[in-house]
Amino acid sequence: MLSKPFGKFASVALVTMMSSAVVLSACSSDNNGAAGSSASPGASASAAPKKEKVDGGEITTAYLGDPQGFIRFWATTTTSTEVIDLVFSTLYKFNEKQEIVPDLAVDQPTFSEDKKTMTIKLRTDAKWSDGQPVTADDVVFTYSIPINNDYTGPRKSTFSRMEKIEKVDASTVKITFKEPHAGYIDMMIYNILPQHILKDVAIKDMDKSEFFKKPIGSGPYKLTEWKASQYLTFTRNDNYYGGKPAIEKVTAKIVPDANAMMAQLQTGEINVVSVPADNLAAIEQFAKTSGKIKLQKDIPSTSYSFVGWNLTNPLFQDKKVRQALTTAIDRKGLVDGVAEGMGKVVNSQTAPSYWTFTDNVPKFDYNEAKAKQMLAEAGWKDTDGDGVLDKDGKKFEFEMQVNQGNKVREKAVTVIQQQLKKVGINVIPRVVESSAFTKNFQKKDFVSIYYAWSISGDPNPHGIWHSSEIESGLNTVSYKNPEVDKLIDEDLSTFDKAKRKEILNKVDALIAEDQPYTFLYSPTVVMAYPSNLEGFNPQRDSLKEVQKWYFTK
Amino acid sequence: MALYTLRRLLNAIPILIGITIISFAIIHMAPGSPLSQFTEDPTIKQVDKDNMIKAYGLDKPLYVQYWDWVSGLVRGDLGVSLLKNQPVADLILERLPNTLLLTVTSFLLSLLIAIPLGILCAVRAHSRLDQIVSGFTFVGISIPGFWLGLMLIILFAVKLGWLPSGGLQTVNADFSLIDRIKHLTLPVLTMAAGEVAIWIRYVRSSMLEVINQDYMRTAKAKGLPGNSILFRHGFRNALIPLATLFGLALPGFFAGAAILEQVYSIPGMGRLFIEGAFQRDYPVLFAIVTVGAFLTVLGSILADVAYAALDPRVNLSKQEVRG
Amino acid sequence: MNVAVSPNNNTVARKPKNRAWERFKANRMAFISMFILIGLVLVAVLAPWIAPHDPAEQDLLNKLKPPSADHWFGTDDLGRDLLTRVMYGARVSLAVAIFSVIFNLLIGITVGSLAGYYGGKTDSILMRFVDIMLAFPQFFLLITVVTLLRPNLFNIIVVFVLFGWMGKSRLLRGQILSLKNREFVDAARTIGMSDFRIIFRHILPNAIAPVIISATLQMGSMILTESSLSFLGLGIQPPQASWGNLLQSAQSLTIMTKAPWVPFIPGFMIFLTIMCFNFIGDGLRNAFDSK
Repeated sequence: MLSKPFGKFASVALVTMMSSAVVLSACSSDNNGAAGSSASPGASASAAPKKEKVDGGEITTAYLGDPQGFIRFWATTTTSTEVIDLVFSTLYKFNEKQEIVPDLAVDQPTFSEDKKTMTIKLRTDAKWSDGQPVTADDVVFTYSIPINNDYTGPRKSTFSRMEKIEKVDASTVKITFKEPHAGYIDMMIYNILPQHILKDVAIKDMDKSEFFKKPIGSGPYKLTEWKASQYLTFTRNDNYYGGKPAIEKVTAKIVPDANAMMAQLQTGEINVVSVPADNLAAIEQFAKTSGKIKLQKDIPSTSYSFVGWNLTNPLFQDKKVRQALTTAIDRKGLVDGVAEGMGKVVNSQTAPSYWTFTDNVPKFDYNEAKAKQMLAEAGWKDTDGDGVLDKDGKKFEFEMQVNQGNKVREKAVTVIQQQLKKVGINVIPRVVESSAFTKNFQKKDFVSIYYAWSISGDPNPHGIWHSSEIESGLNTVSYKNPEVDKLIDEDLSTFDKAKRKEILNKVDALIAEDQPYTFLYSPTVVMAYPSNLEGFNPQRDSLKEVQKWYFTK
Repeated sequence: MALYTLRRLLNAIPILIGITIISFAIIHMAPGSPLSQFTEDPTIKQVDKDNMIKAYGLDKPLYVQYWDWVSGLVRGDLGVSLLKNQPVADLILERLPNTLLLTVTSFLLSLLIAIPLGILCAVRAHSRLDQIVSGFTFVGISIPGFWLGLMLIILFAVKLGWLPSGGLQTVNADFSLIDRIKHLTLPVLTMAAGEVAIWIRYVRSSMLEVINQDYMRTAKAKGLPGNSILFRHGFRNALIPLATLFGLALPGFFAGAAILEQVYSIPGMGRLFIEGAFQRDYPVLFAIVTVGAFLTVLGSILADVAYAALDPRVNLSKQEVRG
Repeated sequence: MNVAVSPNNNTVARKPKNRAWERFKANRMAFISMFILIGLVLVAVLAPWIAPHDPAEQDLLNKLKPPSADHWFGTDDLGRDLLTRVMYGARVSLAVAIFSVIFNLLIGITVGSLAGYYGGKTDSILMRFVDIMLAFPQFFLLITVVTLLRPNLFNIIVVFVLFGWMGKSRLLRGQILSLKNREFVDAARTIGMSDFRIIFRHILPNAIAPVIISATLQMGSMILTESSLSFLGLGIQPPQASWGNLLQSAQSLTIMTKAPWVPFIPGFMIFLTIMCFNFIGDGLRNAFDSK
């Protein structure tokens, strides 16, 4: 235990090499990707009918870190969400287009005339894994938590427009809103908790309760063991109202190192996992030579990467300049060269899989000559012949921050730097430790920043683009467009989906025209499955819809 | 000596208090917070974050927070992890055995190899054997742990399939010694590889130094049998730098080996610290930094005690001012 | 220097410096190592003129290509010429290694000698200071410092110097504690030699061996750690190359199995450097040894 006579630095060294591993929370989005749906050659995406379905079998997947716990009001990481979905049911779930589909609920919710009350019908056949029925009381109990004053978790404002929830009858609940709330779907995906077990636990202690780590749910699987930082095991819930799942056991190992994870995929210690870009070539070869696994490519994600331009900086105040910057960046080349093809170029702020997505927005495709010309029109010329553009005696030179621990992003920044160099712009990349990085982002302490959003649920983009979010929200590039503000506000009180799509498409077009970000690409996911596994949805990553999976003989 | 040790331990108390104050301030001053993970979710608003900061008690002035923490510490309460919702003491007790298993085993293993080899190299300095062993030690020193770890996984787990690639035990299996040994083989080997190289360098050099000491030559000239001189005189003196190194290494046994714990998926102290560091899990960090500081000081005291025990000429209890 | 300290000391009285140089030259390994190291330093200094390519120039269509006539060491994961990057990387890595180690040795030796030789209060104060430095939560200080300083090579060396010397001073002090009461030191003292001379001429040469080893080992870990600090935003920033970041960027199964030369070449350079320094260290120690 003598870490090369340099004890303390060693620990720093370790730290930084740990790459994405540790930063569970932060933006794993580059490994989760977007759009396109073609199945990879050779991988039969959905069941070939001739194969015989097997009852049973085991799935072993891996996560970089532990989930936080089993109540979504407190547990926010992607890993937590996934394991919660195994054990619990929710009123609704998001489908791959981020629309809600009923789970415990029956049909879509119905609204009163003034849109202030919402009624939801519940299934009557759902049971907790201890045999008790799931009732309207459980739903009322659950939804009373985040509106209680004792609740101090991160989801208070998600429920801030909700006034109360009442039981109408044993299978109906009614939610009353303070004001009409078109974004209600964000509230629908919280796991329903068993009142008969939790009724005596104080709300402020719930995230420290035994239940948080040893849950009883009504979902397709039951948690059988959680060895902290080693693995979680789940067995199927024979009484699941959606039908007994075919896969008997699901194990989620905690493997904090992405390379070790890929090694375990090859040894068979895990058999379902998403493959990161830098290891894709090695795993593709393994799939080909061993025949043990198959790869499902191009699974869309709801995230996108971007370079944010701080609009308070004089360099980026001219729209023309921002458009030129985007024009100078070869985004397709970035996807192919750095993300190994795992991504789809985006032009505005909606990920391609979203139901509100539109391709009908202004585009600034890669064109080096045109970018130069646009910059010249904006007054940026290389007057002193040093290869760097200047204007009013000031050089076009700025810093670009990127968070430490994400190799794809670190590489992407150097690629962007090289591309912008060709049009005479000098980018100074700067890698920043993750927690400090998010602070810089939040505090607008950057000139330009490489980051990614992973967005799910309601498509209203108020939190990122509305000018009221500049001060303490996430509109940290300080984007302000009155027209966009107006449309976002209008969308907030629009319940008609077709109308919303129309409004939001206008927002997308306006933002694409303004280019407050250079929208880069929406990553796509590659999943590795056992070769004889069928029934998975080729549009969805990780363990989503695992209750429909089955092995074949 | 006992008196001296006691005095040193008492002296350590103000130093430890000083270190905890500095650490507390530095860790809090560092940019970022336990809530920075929420920055990527636009549905979590500043109000929510403010609520949580209040719930965590992070809105109080720093000296109040420090006082709360110290009074907890005195009662034996290390606080609750902000991110794992679990008492810090439990977390450490859960992780420490795994880390000790790794660090102590590989330490013992590396000494077992390094001491005889190091002595041999010193006795036959500049021989072919010495050159080969030295060559290997330099390779061992130049290879980063993460790289060696991955290579061993590729070789022994992926290609040969002899050993598991990570974890502490087979999932769902009951504890078995064989299973545990299999899982620990690669991590211990990886860790020991680096350590063996380092220890051989030190042992060889210390022995060489001692062999060249005058009294050794005198003893040899007197015709005392070789081995007995080596052990009676030589090795004791050679142990002095090793005692220093052991003192320096002491906190490491506790802190673990984050890289290897990461590569081999071992839930140990190193990973606990790293995760805590990146997510600014303050209670976890303070606990580890404090225990680490205590062990640093303890290591320094133990080394001094060892000097006196090894070499009667070292007298630390005497307040001597020379020259 | 030829005080009758050791009975075996029968060297002819010549100018000490010349004699040391001759002894050093006589040590073949040390001598060869010195030449290799000078060669490496030359390559580093001349990199901008002798490197075959631009170190930052990418060719995304020619990633991870094996060594060829155009790219002697192949290309990395962004299609950059590895030979060029290793040459430029030498500038950073050697600068970090050499300067940090020299200053670490200076501080470590000074503190260690003072504490060990004078003992008592001096020793207590210095060693408690060492304890505090060792227990310091450096990671957090670093990320705080990063927000205040511009990232560059100089800062990284400063950080290494600030936090890298403590082990050496402890090692040296331990050695001196056991040496200072030996006959030859007493002898020197009785003939009225100054403390400075006693420490330098008689104690240090006998006590320095583990410190030199510590320094060579540290050199390796600093070359690697440099890249980690860069990732925290402290040192050099991408796309600048260093041996450490060349090695670290090779951390993927794809590169390790399909392009093993990518980690091997920087790894070998680190190995070579550490070995050279070790032999030079040995050579120097022997050259100045009074026995």
